[in-house]
Amino acid sequence: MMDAAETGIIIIVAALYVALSYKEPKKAKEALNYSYNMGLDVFILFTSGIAIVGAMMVLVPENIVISTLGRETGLWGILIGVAIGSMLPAGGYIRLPVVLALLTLGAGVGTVVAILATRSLLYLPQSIGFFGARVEAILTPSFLLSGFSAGLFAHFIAGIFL
Amino acid sequence: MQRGRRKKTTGEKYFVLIAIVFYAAIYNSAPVDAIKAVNFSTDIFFDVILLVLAGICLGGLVKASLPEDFVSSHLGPDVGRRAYLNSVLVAAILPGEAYVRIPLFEAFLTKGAGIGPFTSLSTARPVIVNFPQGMAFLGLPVAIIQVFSTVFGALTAGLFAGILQSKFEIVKPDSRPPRQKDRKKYNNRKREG
Repeated sequence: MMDAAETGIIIIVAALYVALSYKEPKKAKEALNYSYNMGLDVFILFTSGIAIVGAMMVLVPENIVISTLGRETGLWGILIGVAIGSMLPAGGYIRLPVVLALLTLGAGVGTVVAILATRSLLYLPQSIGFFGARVEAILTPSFLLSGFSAGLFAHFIAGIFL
Repeated sequence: MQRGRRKKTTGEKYFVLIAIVFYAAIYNSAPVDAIKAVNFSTDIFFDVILLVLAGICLGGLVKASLPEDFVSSHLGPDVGRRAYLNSVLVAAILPGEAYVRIPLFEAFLTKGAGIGPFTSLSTARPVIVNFPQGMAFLGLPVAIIQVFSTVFGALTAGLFAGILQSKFEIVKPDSRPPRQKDRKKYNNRKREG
């Protein structure tokens, strides 16, 4: 069952579409086309991501996740999160299911946020091709730092509020 | 912004392959566990699918209604220090992940953007347009923490890159990538040494 916040988001998105199609029907059609293409793009990744979650729930022992990525692992867990995040392909449709499995198995909030916030290094060749090696020399350590600081921030916030 | 569909990257193809291998391995060793895994996955799929679709529709809406010059007008070199915050906010509402964004961000870099704000822009994820998905998978409290942490991380990365650049001048003005139309000339000049 969906809770009120989830229903609220769906209603807001639907209302935005209704408002746009009332004001600018052409733009609304364009938006639907974009969404359709995006949906087709991510569908296979999304379903394989969810399939991996199911497999992880069965295969990965809970105590291993808790001891290596759990809340008590602190900085170490966040660093492992950064390493995992840098090796996973980009895209919420892959990362969110993986993170859901880890959260369910007992990983800490800081660790999962570090996984989500670290940009994938699998796109390094593409990125060097577009930006050049010098720009990439600054970007790569910044990506790792970003994941680490986001994880650390989430760890402290979760410690206070959750 | 890119219209139409993109090619799957190698990393993503491996991901699909990993899922198949996982299931083959589980089925081989314990068929009951494989059925359990399929049941878990089906439950999750139906739990999250509506919010995921809402997120995709929100992404399409932002893509269609964002003005062409939005990025350059909010992140240009004249904006000053506010460019860091603007870049994180722009990244948060721009749909698409790294593969879609890299070509888009290149245009920004060639227009003379600072390395710091540019790093913030490329580091931050589309946390606002992907919020429905985040909520579906992580639950509301963790999804909110994730948004603030990602913004914090991207700002830190941008400031770090800005300091690195100002101390060591790693990116020289002439080593910036050229605009797309000048790329041929640039590559020829590079080849000629």
